[in-house]
Amino acid sequence: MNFDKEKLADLIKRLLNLGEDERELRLWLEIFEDLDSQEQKEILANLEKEAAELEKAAGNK
Amino acid sequence: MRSPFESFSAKPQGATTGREQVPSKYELKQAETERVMEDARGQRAEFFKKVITSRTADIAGNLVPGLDIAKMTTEAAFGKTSSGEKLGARQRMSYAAIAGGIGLAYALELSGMSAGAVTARSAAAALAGMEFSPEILKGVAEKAKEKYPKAAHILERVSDFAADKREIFTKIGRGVKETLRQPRPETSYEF
Repeated sequence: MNFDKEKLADLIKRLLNLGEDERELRLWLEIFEDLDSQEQKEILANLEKEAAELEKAAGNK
Repeated sequence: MRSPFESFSAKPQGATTGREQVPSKYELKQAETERVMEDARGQRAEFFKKVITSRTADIAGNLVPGLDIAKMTTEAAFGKTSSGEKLGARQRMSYAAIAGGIGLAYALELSGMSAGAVTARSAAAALAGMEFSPEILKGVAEKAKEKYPKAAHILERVSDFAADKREIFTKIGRGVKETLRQPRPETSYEF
């Protein structure tokens, strides 16, 4: 697994703990390597932002 | 179905002022969580639509001069549900994934048609006659594997997703067919 896919897998773990939809996140993991590098950056940024905001809302950070 | 929060006895109740209820900290936290998820999913739905439109354009781009197949199929796929029902923000990403998969499947099917047979009207009619199910999407992906490996892999994964969300799939599929059946100007092309 490459570095960005590992990063995605870690983000997914964080989001699942915060109550995100498992099936949707699995889809992103499955198609990640079909995305070009710019698209990969975009989806990572979206998930990173969501995880940070959810952790803040939950009072974890 | 019981809410997972029903048995949570420690759930704080909102304080009341007699006439209106002031949201408790717990409720505010829940509302913020919902808002963050809805925003993020909405953005991912738009992003997925962009990815699919780009892959569809790659496949169908120059198939028929003057006919924007990518636009036609993705607009039909991302249109309203047949009942005109408004989708909840939380459903938008599921909708985008399935609608995108259907749009992509149409483009892959069209790419296998002879160019002479494809006009704006005949293409729409042919596509409106197709019956898609998650399993058929998978078949389309299988056929396209060699020529369009990345698009085919996305479609294959979406078909599994659609099988898990079959109810949404049926709703969208009906809406796409109705859109494609709507009258459109007669256009023909010489080849």
